[in-house]
Amino acid sequence: MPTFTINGKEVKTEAGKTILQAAVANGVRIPHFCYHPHLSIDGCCRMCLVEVEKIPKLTIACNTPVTEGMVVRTNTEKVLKARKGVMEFQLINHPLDCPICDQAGECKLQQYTFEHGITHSRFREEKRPGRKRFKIGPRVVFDEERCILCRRCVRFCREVSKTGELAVFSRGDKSIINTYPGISLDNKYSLNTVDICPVGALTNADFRFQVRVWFLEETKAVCPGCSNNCSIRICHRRGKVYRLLPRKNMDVNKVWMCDNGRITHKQIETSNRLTVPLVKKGNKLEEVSWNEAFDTIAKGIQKIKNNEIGAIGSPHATNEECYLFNKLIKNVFNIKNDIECIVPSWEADDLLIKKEKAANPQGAREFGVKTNDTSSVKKIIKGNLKALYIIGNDIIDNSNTKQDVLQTLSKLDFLVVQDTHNSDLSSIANVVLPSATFAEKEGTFTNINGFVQKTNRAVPCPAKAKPDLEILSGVAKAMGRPFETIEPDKVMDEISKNVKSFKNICYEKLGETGIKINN
Amino acid sequence: MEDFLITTAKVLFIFGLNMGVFAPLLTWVERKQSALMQDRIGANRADILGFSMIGLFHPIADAIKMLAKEDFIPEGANKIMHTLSPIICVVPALLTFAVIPFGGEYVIGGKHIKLVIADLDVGLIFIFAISSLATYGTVIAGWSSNNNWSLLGSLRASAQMISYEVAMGFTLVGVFMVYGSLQLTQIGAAQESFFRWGIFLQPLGFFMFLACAIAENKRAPFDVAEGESEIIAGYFLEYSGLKFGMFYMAEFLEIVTISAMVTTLFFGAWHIPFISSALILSMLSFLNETLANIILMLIHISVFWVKVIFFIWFQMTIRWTLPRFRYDQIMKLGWKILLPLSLANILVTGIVILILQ
Amino acid sequence: MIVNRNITMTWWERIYLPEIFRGISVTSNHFFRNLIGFIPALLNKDKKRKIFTLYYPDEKVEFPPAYRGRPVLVVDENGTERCVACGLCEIVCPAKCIEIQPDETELEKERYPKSFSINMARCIFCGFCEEVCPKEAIVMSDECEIADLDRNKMFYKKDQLLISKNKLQKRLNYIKEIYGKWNY
Ligand code: SF4
Ligand code: SF4
Ligand code: SF4
Ligand code: SF4
Ligand code: FES
Repeated sequence: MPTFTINGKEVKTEAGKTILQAAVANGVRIPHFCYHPHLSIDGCCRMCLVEVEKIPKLTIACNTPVTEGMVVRTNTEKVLKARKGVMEFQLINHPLDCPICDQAGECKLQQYTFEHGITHSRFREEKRPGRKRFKIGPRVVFDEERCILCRRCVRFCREVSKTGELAVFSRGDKSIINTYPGISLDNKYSLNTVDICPVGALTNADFRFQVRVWFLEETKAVCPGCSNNCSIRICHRRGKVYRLLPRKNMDVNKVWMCDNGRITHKQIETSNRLTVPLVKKGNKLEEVSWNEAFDTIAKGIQKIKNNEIGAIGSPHATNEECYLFNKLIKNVFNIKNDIECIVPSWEADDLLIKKEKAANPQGAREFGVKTNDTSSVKKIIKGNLKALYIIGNDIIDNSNTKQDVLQTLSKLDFLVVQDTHNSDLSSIANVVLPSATFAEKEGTFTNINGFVQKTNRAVPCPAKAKPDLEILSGVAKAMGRPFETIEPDKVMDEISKNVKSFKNICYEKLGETGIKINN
Repeated sequence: MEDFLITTAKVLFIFGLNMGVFAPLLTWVERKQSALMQDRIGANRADILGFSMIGLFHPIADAIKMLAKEDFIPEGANKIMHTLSPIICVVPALLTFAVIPFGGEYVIGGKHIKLVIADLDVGLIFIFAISSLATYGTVIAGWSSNNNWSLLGSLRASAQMISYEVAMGFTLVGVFMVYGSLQLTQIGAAQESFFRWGIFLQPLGFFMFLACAIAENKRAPFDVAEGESEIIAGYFLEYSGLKFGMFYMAEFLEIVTISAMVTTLFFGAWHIPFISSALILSMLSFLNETLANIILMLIHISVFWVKVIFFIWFQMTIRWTLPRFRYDQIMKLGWKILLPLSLANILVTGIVILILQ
Repeated sequence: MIVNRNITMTWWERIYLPEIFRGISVTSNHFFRNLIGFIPALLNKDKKRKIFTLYYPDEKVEFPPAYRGRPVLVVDENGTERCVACGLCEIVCPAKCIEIQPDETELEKERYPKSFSINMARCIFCGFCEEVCPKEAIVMSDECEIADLDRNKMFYKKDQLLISKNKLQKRLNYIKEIYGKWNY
């Protein structure tokens, strides 16, 4: 544990830390471009110069390890002058693009220019021209003029995604970032380069020019893309979600997230969202009030014998929803059959992406729901079933069995579908209940390794749609046995009382990054 | 019968002049004069068939507007009092004119005609008595409106009016002493010679009387009772339509009354400086007596009203020149300056009269 | 609150009466001057009145370039707006009356406002939007007659805001001059 002095304050730090890391740990801000805590150290931007006693010249903080008795100063006149100089060099070839640049507002170059730069350019020569709006990958747009060659993106592709598409080509002031010939920046994590690019050189093709970042509100949430449950921030404005960004969670996703996760918000505003409760009258689905829909369900279910009713849960539902669905089926409907659910899957990798392509299959299993992959659909819906309550539409996910499934289901006496989107399944249902997507509800998800994280409501539900908790309690009430509570935190308290593995979980303890259940 | 007709004619003349000419016209004069004083144009938009007549139609437009407006009585207000108070304000302003002479005494058709409606022996006292009644109008207006600002306005108004009434009474004592009468016709007649005008005999009295009278009328610079910036409009805040118009009418009528009193008491009433009635009559001696007297009467009436109009103009000028006093300044002026000064004025006048005897 | 302005008045001023007459002489001076100066204009003889107030709707003033009328968007020689939808005016507007939807364009400027609306019922004509605009794309014009009886009509859409550069040249020169002094 070396002890060193920074700006006159004596502090202790762990061995092997660099000055920059130690400074950050002690609340001292040192401007930097190329240093990133989760990438290797490059030391190429020279923005982090500090003055260290007994070292004759200024030295970079990001790559100088702290030694015992070192005396560091980060705000002497010499340092400030050096920063000014570095800024001036950075800006030599940088275009005056802030008004159109999407990074403006969260741009390090902008910030440091404001803090340390000079207001006038002394540069009289022509600026170096570069490629503008260059599609360097399917999801990433590159602006060569804005690049400050910090190599963060290069290091990311080499060290984190391990795909290595990017490199610096040419030398001196002709250096440019480019992909190797014949390939494009199209790995599954390519949008992380946009996040770590300190300037607006790499931008998200999807988010480009949609909205200014300073108008966005951020809500802490959890990515519903796969059972890894990366921590995310939902960036939204006036009820519309514009982008998802990763949130630091060292247990789950560090600071990264996959490209696929970033587009999960697309499902929120589509034309086929279910927005009003529907009930089949004659041969047509008609819009009804919530109460009428609930009453229809209650009547339909009561007509049918208990052992002829089935329930299919959703691996996308939150823990609270799984629990209440269980309660509804087992206690209110009095059904002895197991609740099944179908979990879609895709190819996993060893960074973040997990095999099960749903937010909460692990949570569902904790509550006794049987999870099956899509190939076993037929097995589930065989038998003497006359009524079925389905949440979600994963059951028709597998195109091989889809027609069969639909045919079997259309023979049922009574089919309730609780879903977010219109599908072939909802069109054959007797009652359709419009529910909320991940950004429209509050709750917790359990990831594949057992980390329970809280996700928050960012935007309101469209039209008359409701969060699943409210729908489930509505059905229970119509059946004459209402739930005690549907507040997510109260439900969690109930869960921790009744479900053994959730004993240590309550909302206060979850914090921002969640805790692990004990199994 | 003849007397009755003559009196009726006089009443109609005064009433018509005040209500038909001065009250409406003064609203126009006020706007136009303030505009000219402030290098503006002033009211000029109301027109009939494209003729705007330098804004002369505005009083008509105003009247139509006020008649057409909702007569609003606030919730919780005392309805009877609320309706009564504008009337209590207007009537005294009109009544005072009963004792103010607008001409001398003329022999027409062998009859002696005095151009005053009621030639009371105690004319001045009558004026004080009547004009004090206006205080009730404001107090009741403010109180019956059931509004804090109105109440504040009426409190200010009543305090101010009562304070200045004292000083006003004393300032005029000097005038009675000099002319030895309370009868306004006699005071007027006594000023036939130019140097016997009240302004020369009671110069201090004139200024003090004017100040007190304007304060009585609650016009700028003594308009704290309305004080738009502090209490919105004071006692008549809750009034609208015709009732609101009546407060304004009372104010304008009182301007005329004050001018008429100043003229009568200090500025030689109906007399023309250096030209006595006898002189005019002798110049008209080629006519028969009645005709000469009629011409003399007409000359005197116009001289009187010209003087009145001058003082109306003067009051308007003061109103648009001086900023509003603070409340404490008003009280200080009334009690600490005007009252002692008026007492001193009485003393000095008394001593001078004693010496001259 | 009593504010002591430390004004010492001379004895002459303290009598107050002479000062009143001085004031009255000033105002009545104006009164008579205007009363006489008014007559030729009344008779429609002389257009040049002594009173400089205008008969507003009939006569109009030409505003100096410093006048801040309704904000408008500058259209350049090539027929498109200068605005790049940077959103700075939207965030700086104290009345929160600007709404911009940016989008991508094929033009060289890359970014343009797909829709741009100003709620003129809310605008307070502060000119902040003009001052903050990095492209000199939004300027205060000299139009001020925007009153309307319908609130919905006060939402000025992009096509109502576009005004060609030539018409705004005076103001553009002016803002270059005054904001050029700051040098942020
Ligand atoms: S990268 Fe930063 S400094 Fe450069 S144009 Fe974009 S916002 Fe401005
Ligand atoms: S594109 Fe961005 S991250 Fe990559 S080198 Fe340039 S500035 Fe750095
Ligand atoms: S500040 Fe200028 S360029 Fe930016 S959005 Fe407003 S008008 Fe357009
Ligand atoms: S002038 Fe001021 S209030 Fe009006 S749009 Fe511009 S910034 Fe907003
Ligand atoms: S952060 Fe240290 S050199 Fe770039």
